Amino acid sequence: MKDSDRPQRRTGFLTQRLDDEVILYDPEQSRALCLNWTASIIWGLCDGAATVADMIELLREAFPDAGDIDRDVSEALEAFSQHAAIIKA
Amino acid sequence: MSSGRLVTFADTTIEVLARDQDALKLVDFLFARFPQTTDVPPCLELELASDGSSTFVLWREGSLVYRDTTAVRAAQLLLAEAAHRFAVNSRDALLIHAAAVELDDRRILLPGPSGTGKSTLVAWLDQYGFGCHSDEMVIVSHDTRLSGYARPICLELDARFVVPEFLDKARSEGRLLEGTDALMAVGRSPISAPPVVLHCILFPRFSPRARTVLRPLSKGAAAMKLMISVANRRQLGDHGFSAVADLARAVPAFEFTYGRLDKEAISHMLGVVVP
Repeated sequence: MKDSDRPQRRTGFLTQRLDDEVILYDPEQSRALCLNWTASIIWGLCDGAATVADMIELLREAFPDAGDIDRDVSEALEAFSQHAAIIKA
Repeated sequence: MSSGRLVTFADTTIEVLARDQDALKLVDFLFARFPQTTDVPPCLELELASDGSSTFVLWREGSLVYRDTTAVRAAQLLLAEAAHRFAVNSRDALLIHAAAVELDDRRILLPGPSGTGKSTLVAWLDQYGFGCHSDEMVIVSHDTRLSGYARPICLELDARFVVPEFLDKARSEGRLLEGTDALMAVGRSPISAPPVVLHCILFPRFSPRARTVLRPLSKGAAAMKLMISVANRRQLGDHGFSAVADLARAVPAFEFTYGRLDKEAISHMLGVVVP
């Protein structure tokens, strides 16, 4: 996904928070995806307005001591795409 | 003149009739561990008869559905007919592809799709005193109470090489039904009357030559794995997903990887049950 893309959560997914994780469940496909804490924050940022670059910048500001935020965002968005959980706005 | 029994599971009752002594003996063998109740009127009638030459005939609602079946095949068909009706009618609680066992009032759920070795594992555990609530399917209500589809343990012929002592004992005690391609045995170890509260969830994973490992699972991972095993997720709709999450929150879960059913494996199992 490019830095200028604006990922948006696809509607229809059910979510449940369990401790530090969030489960996304697609009832149409009967498929589920387990997000760790970092991925669940990235999922929350996929509102169709923020670009990928915006997300990375926001996370860097919020978590200055975090490791490779670019990679975390890239891997999370890749997983969301594979599960058809996001669309490009 | 037919006799038989009412069989209740998941708030659904069916009536299984037998036209003769051989048929009644088979019906009793299959359904003896199910609760009988007259509270819920039966929604399905199945009827079995022996034709006098070691084969059976099966009717559903008065219509002939199978004939010339062996005892084991007739048993499989009866159990499948019953399970199908119970699953279709199950709209409130979670219906999970899972075995369930108990030891010392502690109940363990062992989820997994058909064909993943649940029945063999349950037969092996029976030898160590674990009572079998089901080797195939359970209902778990919102307060984590469990009722098992209490059929006999259904095994493939390969089980003769994995749990020979269990089968020998079952044979000598008249708890074994043997066919040319399958075996059925009633467990020996006692169980509490359902429903019972769950102690933990163990996801069994057989891997040849693997060392026995018991690994705690996060609640998220447990919910993911449970969701795969929920048989009535479409009937339950959105409620099913939240029920699975509630179950994962309430009950600790582990992944149980094993390559052999040996002393190391049983010590891990006992470690879960005995604090």
